[in-house]
Amino acid sequence: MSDTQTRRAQKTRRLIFSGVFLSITIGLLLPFQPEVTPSVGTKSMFSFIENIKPGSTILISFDHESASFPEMKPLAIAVVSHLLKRDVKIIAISLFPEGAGLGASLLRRLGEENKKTYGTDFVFLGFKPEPRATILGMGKSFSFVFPFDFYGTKTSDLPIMSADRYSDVVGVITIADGSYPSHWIEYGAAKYELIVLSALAASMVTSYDPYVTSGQLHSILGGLRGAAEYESLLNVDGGGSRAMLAQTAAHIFIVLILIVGNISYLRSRKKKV
Amino acid sequence: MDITTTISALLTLAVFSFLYGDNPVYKFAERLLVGLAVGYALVINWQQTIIDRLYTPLFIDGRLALVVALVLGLLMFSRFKRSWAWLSGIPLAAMIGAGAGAALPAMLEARIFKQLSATVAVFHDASGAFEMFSAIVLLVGFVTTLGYFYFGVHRSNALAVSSKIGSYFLMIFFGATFGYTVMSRMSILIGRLDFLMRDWLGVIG
Repeated sequence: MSDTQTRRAQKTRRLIFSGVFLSITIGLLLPFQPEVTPSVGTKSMFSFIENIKPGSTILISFDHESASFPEMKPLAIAVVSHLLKRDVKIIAISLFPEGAGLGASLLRRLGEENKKTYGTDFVFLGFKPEPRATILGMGKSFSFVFPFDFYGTKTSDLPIMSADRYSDVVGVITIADGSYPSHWIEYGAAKYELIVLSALAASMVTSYDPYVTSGQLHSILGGLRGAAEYESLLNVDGGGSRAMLAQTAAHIFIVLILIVGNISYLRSRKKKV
Repeated sequence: MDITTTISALLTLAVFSFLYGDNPVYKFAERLLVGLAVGYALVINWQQTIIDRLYTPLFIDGRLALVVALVLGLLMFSRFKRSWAWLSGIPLAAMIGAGAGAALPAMLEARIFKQLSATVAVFHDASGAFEMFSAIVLLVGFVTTLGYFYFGVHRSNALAVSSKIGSYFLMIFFGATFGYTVMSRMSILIGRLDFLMRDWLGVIG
């Protein structure tokens, strides 16, 4: 590539970045939000949680890293808040070291906001490596795999840990940015008939849709859009809803860039011919 | 505004500075992230794995069976001395053997048998014309995409047409995945810009 071409490519790159930045900033600053219609998957997860008997226990796994937290946070807040409002007890774990810190602080904050007691209404057991061994081990006993919680308390001393196996929980919600829902499906659902639901990063939705069709995954909540849909069902104004205008603006800009890029490619090809 | 918000905002801006070009501020933020991530993972693993799952049960609660795990774990370090390196093959063999043994039936069941039966079951469950049409599309997509990856035989006309259709299904899948990936990356950027403008600068109410 010649110097002129390199400079032009660099200039185009910066123009695209500036365009994306501007479209998102304007979208965030404008004081209105587009209307969001909940999808079938979102409604399915909502009605699953809505139908859990108060006092039941659910397992939540924070299977994501800090890099995807801006996308995972609105999803996690929407789902965990709904569970706490429905008086569902939460046993949370993480299969990623980074997910442990993020999950622990998020759960603590939401627990306090909803006036729930740690150890009775919710607990964070922390991280364990090797997801397959962890999921299979928990099939025998949660407290065997997690003898202490994230803060060093013996799990056998916590009232919530009377739920100690998969048969004692209504299911698992994996809040994931990668392929970890596969482990829950393969080892949790297939072996222990655990109901698996997933709040996923948008980039993973197409990979897990077939599992919903086959019934191995109960439902998927996908990306910021999924969070916005869930918030609309909860009737709250959260991080997902607030981001919808910015996301729409960014998508329109990217579609325009794709059209312009393709036209310019076709024109350059025509010139060569 | 607390100090942690400011530190977080400045580091976000430091990472964004890469969009203009590689620079020392970006390098600093990048190395800080890598260092912190490794340090954090080490501490979490040390406390929640070595202490909680090995040290306490073995040396305090006296569960002697864990000696086997301790010895196997220590054998992994034999790789650091060339003449002892063969010993690390023992824990590796145990890990690979147990891992493959656990993974094979589970993966076959979840990824192949259940997905295959679902491909056929949709015909049985279809209650209307649209569901039946979807089931046919699913089956055609499944067969032709599989045919696309069938390289072992000479491609007759029928197989060539089938794999061409399969390649279109693949393109649709890649297109949808790319679209979702763009959405995902935009979400992350929106999250950071929202943080900068709402939590740090306070320009959004």
